[in-house]
Amino acid sequence: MRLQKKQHRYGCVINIAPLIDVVFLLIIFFMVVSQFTQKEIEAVVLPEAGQGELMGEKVDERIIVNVNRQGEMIVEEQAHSLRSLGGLLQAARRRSSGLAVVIRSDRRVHWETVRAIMKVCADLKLNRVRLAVAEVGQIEPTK
Amino acid sequence: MLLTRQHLKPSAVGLNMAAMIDVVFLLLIFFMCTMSFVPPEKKLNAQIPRVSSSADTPRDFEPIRVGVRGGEQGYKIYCDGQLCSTFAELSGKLRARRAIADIPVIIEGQNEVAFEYMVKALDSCYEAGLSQVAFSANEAAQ
Repeated sequence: MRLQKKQHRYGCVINIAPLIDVVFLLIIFFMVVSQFTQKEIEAVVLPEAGQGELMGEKVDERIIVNVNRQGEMIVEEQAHSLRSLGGLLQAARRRSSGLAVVIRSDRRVHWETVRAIMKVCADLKLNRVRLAVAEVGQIEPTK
Repeated sequence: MLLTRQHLKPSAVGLNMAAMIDVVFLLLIFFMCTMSFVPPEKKLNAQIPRVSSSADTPRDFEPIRVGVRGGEQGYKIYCDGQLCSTFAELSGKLRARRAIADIPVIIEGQNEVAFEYMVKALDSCYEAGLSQVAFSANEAAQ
């Protein structure tokens, strides 16, 4: 009699196995995604714009160029000069033909810095240049 | 004998599961919360035309020249030489032009102008419905 009661209590074991499968899958997904985005993205205060479209580029068809408050150009946690950035973009273009360049620049950076990057893209005939913007009225982290 | 073995085995596993699920759910909730704090970013298309292509192709319309001049203290917006006090006014002027046709726009900025204002100028053009917008490769004249 006591044994039968025990069986009833742990009857849910059968349902738990697929649940754990799904939950682990979700955890691994979130861990991978968060690590991936942290590598490409620097903490900058983006300019606001109302007409922005959602990012639609595939990960392997775009390259993110961060420009921080000091005007340093950072790609995947590495600071670049204009010349080395040009070489990097050229190499990336050889890998995928329809390469998009996403410029994530701080809003207070001087225009000449961003224009210089766009000029490099124009010289390399990369005409899919995007400027990353934040939505108007969004709460921004104060840095 | 057979009965006790069958029923004890899954119960022993089930006891460990409860604690594990607690931890796993906690991790899941943690990662989901940290993910949602990252605000979704959007993009604006931006172009600097190559020098060779812009010179000799014939155009139907002379492009509108939007200028942003200034420095750290402030900025001034010009639309074909006319001073605009706000970006809303610039957008209104551009919308009037849009009623004629989708005229190309060239945005010129001085070196010291904050990137934010150049994006606002670009945004105003898109807001007015103009789609052929490009940045000038050269600095705006004083």
